[in-house]
Amino acid sequence: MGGEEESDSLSFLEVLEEKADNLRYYIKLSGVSEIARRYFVMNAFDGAVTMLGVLIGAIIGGGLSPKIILTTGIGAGIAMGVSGFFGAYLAEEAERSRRIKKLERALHIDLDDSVIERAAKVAAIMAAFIDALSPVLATAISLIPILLAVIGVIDAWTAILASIATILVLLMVLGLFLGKISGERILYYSIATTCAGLVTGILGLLLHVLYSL
Amino acid sequence: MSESDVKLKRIVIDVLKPREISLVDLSKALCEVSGTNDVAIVVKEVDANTETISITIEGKDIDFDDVIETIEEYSCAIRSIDEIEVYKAKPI
Repeated sequence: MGGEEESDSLSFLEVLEEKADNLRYYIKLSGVSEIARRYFVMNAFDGAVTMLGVLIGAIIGGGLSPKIILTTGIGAGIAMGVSGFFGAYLAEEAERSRRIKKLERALHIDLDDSVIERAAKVAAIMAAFIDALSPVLATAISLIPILLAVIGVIDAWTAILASIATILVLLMVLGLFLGKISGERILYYSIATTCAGLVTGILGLLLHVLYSL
Repeated sequence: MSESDVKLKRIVIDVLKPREISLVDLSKALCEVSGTNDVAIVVKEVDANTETISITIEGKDIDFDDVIETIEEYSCAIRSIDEIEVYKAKPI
C-alpha cells in the first residue's frame, strides 16, 4: 500500500514536472517574455502616473480625506487591472490567431492542438495576467502611505507627500528596469520616467490655476 | 510469420515546418519516439514563414504512428515519405 502511495505521489510529481516543462517550452516558443516585459513596464507606469493624478486631483480639490483617496485609488487600480486583463487577452488572442491562420495557409494544415496553438493560448493568458497585475501592483505600492494615514499612523499631508515620493521612486525604478533591459543609458531612462511624473505634476498645477480662476 | 514481425528501421520524411519551431526541439522530440535511435534533419529550403526539411529517422523498430503524431504536434506538415527501409525480425 505504502509503495503504491509513493508511486502515486511520484507520478503526480512527474506530471507536474512535465507540465512545467511544457509551460517553459510554450513561453519560449511564443516569445511572450518580451511582450510581458513590455506590458509590465507600460502598465506599472500607467498605474503609478494614474495614482499621481489621483493624489494631485485630491490636493487641488481640497479633498484631503485619506479614506476617499484610498478608495478612489483602489477603484482606479481595479479598473486598470480589469481593463488590462481583457484588453491584453483579446488583443493578444486576435494577433496570434491571425498569425496562426497565416501559418495554416502556408502549411496547408490545421494547427488545432499543435504546440504553436497551445503556445499562443499560454501567451495570451500570461500577457493578460501581467497586464492586469502590473498596474494593480503599482497602485498598491503607491497607496501604502495613504493606508497608513487611514489607520492613523501618519497624518493626511505626510501620507500624500510620502505617496507622491513613493510614486516618483517607483517611476525611477521602472526607468532603471528599462535601462537594464536596453543594457545602456540607465540614467536616461530613469530621468525620462521620473520626468513623466513631474509633467503630471506640472499639468496638475495648471489645472489648479484653472480651478482657482 | 505475422505482419508485426516486419520492423521499420529507417524512414526519410519531407516536412514543411513553421520557422519558430526549433530543429533541436523537433529532433529531440522525434528521438523520444519508441524504437528510434538516431534522428537527422537537413534544411532544404527556407521561406518567410516556413522551412522545408528532410527528417531521417533510424532505429530498430520505429513507431511510425508516433512519429507522424509528433511531427503534427510540432505544427509541421508532412509532404511526402521519400525513403523507407523495413526488415523482417528473425524469430527467437
